[in-house]
Amino acid sequence: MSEINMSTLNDDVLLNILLRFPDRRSLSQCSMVCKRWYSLLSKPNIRENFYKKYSDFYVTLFGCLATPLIPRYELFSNRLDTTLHGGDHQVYYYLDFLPCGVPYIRASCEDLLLVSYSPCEDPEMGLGGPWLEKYCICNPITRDWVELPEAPEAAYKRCGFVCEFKNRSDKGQRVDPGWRSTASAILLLGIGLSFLKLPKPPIKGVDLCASSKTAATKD
Amino acid sequence: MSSSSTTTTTTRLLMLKASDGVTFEVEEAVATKLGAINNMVEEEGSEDLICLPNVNGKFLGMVLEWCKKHANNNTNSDKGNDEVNKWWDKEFVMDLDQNTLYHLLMAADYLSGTELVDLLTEKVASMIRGKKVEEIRETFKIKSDFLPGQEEEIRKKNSWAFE
Repeated sequence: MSEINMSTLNDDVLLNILLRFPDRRSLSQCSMVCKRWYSLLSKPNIRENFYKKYSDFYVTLFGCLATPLIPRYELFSNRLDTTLHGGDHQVYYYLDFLPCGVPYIRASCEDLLLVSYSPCEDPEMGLGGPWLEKYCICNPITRDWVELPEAPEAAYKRCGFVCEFKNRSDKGQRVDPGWRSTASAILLLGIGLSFLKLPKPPIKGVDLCASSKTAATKD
Repeated sequence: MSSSSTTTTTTRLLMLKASDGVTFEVEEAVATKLGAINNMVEEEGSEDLICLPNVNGKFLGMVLEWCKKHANNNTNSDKGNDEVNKWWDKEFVMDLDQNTLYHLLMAADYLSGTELVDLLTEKVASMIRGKKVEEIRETFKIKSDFLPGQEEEIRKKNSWAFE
């Protein structure tokens, strides 16, 4: 029975190991280790194929808002009982692909984040508060993002994610109700980013919510 | 996780023979946790003796130990069993040295034990997670085989990852 090392593993198994790091930083580190790792990780569509195979792998995401100035987030896998992404670093580290100074995590749903940011360049203005008017939904793993259109006028806006059953609908929604009013609106992601006015908040007690579709990871 | 023979009440026993001649007598329900063996068993007129020339007895024993645990806990579908399995899995991989880990991985992969492969690859991944390039090389005794300048070039291309 011979002594063996990592290089004995076949490509499939090695990829199964290396693709457990869904963020590009870790993948870049890994691709520097040796030629074999580099060529494995340089194959086109490598991560997409992995996601297809393990689509139930990445399940829960916590947007940690312990203090607004040091937001953290963590992508956690129930199945593996481990943190896959985020965790140790401030969230800006993972959201540096967004075209804004200081992103502010408002809500999360599976591996998507709802982020708000100030449209103005001044970073002083970017730290929390109701003047943050622009919103986008992004996926820190694939580094995709989509900007949401302006919400209807409201004195005070709050937002979040509503999870819809994956098998029932693939559209997402975001609701921005007026402060202490019954007016609210839903953003339908599925049908071309438009707002629908609703007569009253859809869920009593939760006067603001929003959502995405699934933990879609398309590039 | 498709169990093929939940309705049959008689338990069929299979003999698994490892590369070094060591044999294991296991219940069919246990052995078929491994996709490769499940396929062989489903073939009509299959024999009860299965030779596995690519797996050493020591590691086949460990793989079967894992199968037994998971097959047993699957029969009664208590919610608590999930937790028990997780805890057991953690213990199973906790103190494995690298050599054993790779042997087990190759055995599990060869026998198509998908869940076990996932468990073991995650264990290896946990040894990589959070490490810098040099630390990864040291941990796994990997020598950089990039040509001089090549590494620098790739590093430059991905400079944002090394800040």
